[in-house]
Amino acid sequence: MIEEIIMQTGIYWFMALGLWINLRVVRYPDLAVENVLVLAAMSTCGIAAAGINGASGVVLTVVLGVPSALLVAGCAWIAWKVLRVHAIIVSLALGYILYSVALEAFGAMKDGQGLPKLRANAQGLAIVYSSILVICGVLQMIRGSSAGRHFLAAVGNPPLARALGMKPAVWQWLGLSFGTFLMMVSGLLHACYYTYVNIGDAVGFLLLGIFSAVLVANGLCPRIVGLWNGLATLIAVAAFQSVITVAIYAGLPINLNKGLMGLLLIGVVALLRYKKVSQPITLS
Amino acid sequence: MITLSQLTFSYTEAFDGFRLGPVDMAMQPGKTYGWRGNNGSGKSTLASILAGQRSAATGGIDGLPPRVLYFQQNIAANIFPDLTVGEHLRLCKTAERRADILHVFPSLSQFARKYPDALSGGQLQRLAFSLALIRDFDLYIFDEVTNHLDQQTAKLVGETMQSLLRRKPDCTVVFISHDHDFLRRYADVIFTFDEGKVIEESQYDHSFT
Repeated sequence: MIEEIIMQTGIYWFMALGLWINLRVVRYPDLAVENVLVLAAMSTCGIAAAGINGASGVVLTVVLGVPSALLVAGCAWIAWKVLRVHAIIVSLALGYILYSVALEAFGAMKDGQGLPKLRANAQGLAIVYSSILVICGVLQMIRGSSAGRHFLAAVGNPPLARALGMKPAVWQWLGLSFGTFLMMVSGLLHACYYTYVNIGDAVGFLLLGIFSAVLVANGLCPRIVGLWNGLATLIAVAAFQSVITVAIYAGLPINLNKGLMGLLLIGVVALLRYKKVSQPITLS
Repeated sequence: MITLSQLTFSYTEAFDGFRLGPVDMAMQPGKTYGWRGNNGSGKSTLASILAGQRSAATGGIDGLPPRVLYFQQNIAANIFPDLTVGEHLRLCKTAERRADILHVFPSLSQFARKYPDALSGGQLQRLAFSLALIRDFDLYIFDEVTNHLDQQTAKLVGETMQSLLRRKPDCTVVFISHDHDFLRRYADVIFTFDEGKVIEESQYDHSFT
């Protein structure tokens, strides 16, 4: 059970961090997340079905994930900022489109035939957690760089960033792309771990649970990018996964657990610093 | 020259239906303008129109320069919540510009590692004002920039903008304030607002001060 918790924490860490970054960019939860996961999982499976099996297929999916994330985030940004569609509507529509694209391209795949199997053993954990370390390192590098400062400025106060000559649109797009890419990595790992591709069956429950973990991470570490933010997300997801896994072992239905845990953790958030953090700075 | 002619703006009934204007005003480059008036007299509304945040209902603005800095009353609008004080200053393109800002506000370096939500009102105001100096603008609009500042720091703000105008005479500075002494000391022209209209224009000559 412990290995399962640690492995699932690692897999959902990518999703939670992606959600967190997108939340800070568009100020609303990205409801397209589960379908981003499905698309990544189906792409990996499609690549495997095309004859590129094993690690090569995974690496190819990750590489292809970069332009895919840029494209998906670009479409979301255009709908949100240029066409002025509300972020919630954008994410719902995008989720529908991504799921349709995945079904059209890959059919109703359910089994992960051809996918490399990710097990909750030392090797599997090493793969997932070394990837987490790499991402944390990248986050820390971004945090200390000029690009990181411009990104945080553009995301934190777009009108002021624009007035100061920055290009908030570009940084918002890159931020959304990075968040979407992390979600895709989560989908890829999810598919390899569960060897089950069509993970959109549990729509809503997973998002609710992981999003509540995101809010806890926000309470623990309100800053958007950096090593500490990555660690806070890991702690929050680990707490969520521990409770879920114990509940599953106790015999409660999985989706009911996730929904209940989500609500419970939102209550925790209210007791944490989220309220304080989310308040605008005023001098009155 | 920035020229406002017969400019009007109306809020919807949900926002009390306040009506601005018609406003006629001319502001020359190289000069400092003071806008004064009671709360709700239309000063900030007009500033937000010049900053492009709102569109005038009727009338027009000629000669509005492209680079406008609008320092808002709501201090959160003037800072970046996820950047430390030091990171705010590092948004400057050159080290010289950063050094200039620290020369004006040396105390900023003392809390370089702090985030805005850990700063006092006066520290926040100084940080926000320092952002106005990280690049050049054509029109500076400062809405209650001296709030929460002691007299000495307020004087520093006024003198910094005077100095900037001497170095860059093609820009225009507007101070919106209830502090009449501050306006008389630093503004060349003061417009007085009342119920959405400019009711008085006073010239001040600072050449002998």
